[in-house]
Amino acid sequence: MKRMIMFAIAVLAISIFVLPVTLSLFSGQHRWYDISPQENQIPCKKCHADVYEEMMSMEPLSKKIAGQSNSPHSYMDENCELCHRTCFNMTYNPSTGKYEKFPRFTYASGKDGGSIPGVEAHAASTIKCMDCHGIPMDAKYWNHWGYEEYKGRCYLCHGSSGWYRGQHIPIPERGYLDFISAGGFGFGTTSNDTGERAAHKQFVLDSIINPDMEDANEACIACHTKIQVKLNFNVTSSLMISVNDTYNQSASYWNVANISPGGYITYKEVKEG
Amino acid sequence: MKKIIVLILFIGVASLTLFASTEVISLFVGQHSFINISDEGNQISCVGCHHHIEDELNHSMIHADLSCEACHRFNGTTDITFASGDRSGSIPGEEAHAAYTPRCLDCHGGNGVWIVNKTGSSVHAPPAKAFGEEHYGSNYSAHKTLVLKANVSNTCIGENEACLVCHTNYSCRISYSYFYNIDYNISNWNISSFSFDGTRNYDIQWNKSGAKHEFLKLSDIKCTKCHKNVYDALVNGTSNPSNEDYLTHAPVEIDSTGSNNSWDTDNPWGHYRYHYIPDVNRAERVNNNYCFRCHNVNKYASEHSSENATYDLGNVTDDTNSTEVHCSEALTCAICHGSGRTKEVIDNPDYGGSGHNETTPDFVDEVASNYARTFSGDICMGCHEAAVHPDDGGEECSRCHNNGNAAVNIQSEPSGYVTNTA
Repeated sequence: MKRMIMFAIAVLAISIFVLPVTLSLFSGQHRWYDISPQENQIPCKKCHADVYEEMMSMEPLSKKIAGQSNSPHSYMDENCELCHRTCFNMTYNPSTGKYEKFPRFTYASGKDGGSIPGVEAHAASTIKCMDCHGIPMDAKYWNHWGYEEYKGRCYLCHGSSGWYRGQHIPIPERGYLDFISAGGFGFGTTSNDTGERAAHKQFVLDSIINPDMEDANEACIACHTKIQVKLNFNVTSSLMISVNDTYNQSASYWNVANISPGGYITYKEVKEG
Repeated sequence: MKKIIVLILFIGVASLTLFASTEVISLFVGQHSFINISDEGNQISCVGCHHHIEDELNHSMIHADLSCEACHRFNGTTDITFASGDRSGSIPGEEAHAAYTPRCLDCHGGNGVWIVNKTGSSVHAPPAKAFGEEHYGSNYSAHKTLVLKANVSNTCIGENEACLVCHTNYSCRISYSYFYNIDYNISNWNISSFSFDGTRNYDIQWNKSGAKHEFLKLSDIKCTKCHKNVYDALVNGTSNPSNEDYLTHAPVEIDSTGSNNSWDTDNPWGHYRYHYIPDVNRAERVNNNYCFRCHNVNKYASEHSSENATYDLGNVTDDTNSTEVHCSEALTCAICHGSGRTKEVIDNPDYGGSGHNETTPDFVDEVASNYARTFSGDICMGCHEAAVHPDDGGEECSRCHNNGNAAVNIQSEPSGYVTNTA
């Protein structure tokens, strides 16, 4: 038995010694992606499979292929760059209370064999929901219809028909003017966006200030996605009212001099995903 | 030693696993699972974040049948365009995005509105009488100044503070300040001198659950919770060992010659006393109905047909402005007891004097015309508190009943202490 083991070790040692191949760590690291075509060739989902799964969880693929999917961003599941390499850039101006247009970021690109070095971002940026949903109109500011990531792919956002996952399919029409404006907060997303009665405006304004996510994304995502949200409410539960009888000998009236919050209750809410 | 080797081996394997892992760990899981809002109606669950309010509504006597959207996406009278993603396109919000904070009067103003409840039935939101009218209706409503102040206060939208404080379990503390006492002299049914003095500060606290979405049925809105000084004046007052306690705000008709020389029988109009409640019953009977007897005769009459007939409340209602008020009328005694009114002062047939019956000008009208409303009731109470009316008659009777002479000091609610002397 011992002889057999000794013999096996010897054969293995000789085999390794005479082996012409080098064993490498990180196999595949020398197979480079060709990034010269127009569209993005680097598969985001290789690293962000969880995000891809979330994007695919909203509606069955068959419904998308059938051109019947109306859920938000439903045709962007494999087109991450539509959002994360967007040319749109809207920034909230606290002094005007409106979102304003800013120049687009320059992303790194290897299109046509040359290269454009990224400036504000390399492959992708963490975007603001309002970059797209806060725009009243392009009005030739970004000329997004000619932007490399968007050119010829209008249907993915606006609807109509086009290529999706190798098939030419119909996509529900979403229109063009104000078609995804998050109006109703008074941020100037449309010409009629006053937001004067909006219940959640302060939530959005506080989200803009909060550093956890970009801009107002905390508010948008809290409501419009299945993210878990924990909320600590501190709400008024009581009023303090001051009432002074105001009088002289011949006339009087009850003057309600002040109404102010007189007490608070706190409670916690958890919105499950 | 063996344990150390196992530990080192474990750390090594864990490090290698982490190093070789191709998974990215994401913050904010679920942020790319967007909620489909393309179906008709609202698909974003309000209750997800506002479960507490749902609980409140489930315990509410009113509005428990309404969805969040019925009130908070109501545009029947507001002309608000809310954001909507129904079908493939979308409608951008204009005045509001997902929801707005409604004024109660959006539904309860004007003639009210019809809205669809959770079961699909159309239900009528009744108009808030008077307050739902232009300029909040007539000035006879006792609480109109509360509504006006609420409208310019910032705690709630619009006038809602005023609505919520009465109609929900929203708690309140009220600090009142008013005069402490008045002194006046009457000579031959003319007020020859009058003065007011001091300031009384009276605080009340109506502790409820604090829930703004727990709406109360009307019978659970207790007048005496906010007007506890009046309740105390009617029920507790100031102790009086020699006669009835000093209990102000509700006058007695001067006629204590009933079956046992007390105040518990009929009055000069020939029916049971309208205002007076015997001591033993006061804590129980001083309630909303009792308040409405004077402060909303129309409501009281419509809900009490027998009393309506007994006390001729149809005509009394015509004397008042109670059809024009929200819940309560700010009034003086002269509204019902002034000259030419249904319950005009009449003589007490049990005693020879005529009192201030048929005085010219009418004594009650004079009081109402010449003295502030806040004093006029107490001027009357200076004589009409049971505590100040002696049983023994004699000389004291003619001082008032024949000659109309009195020197009165009366304290405001809740103490109501009175001296009525020559």
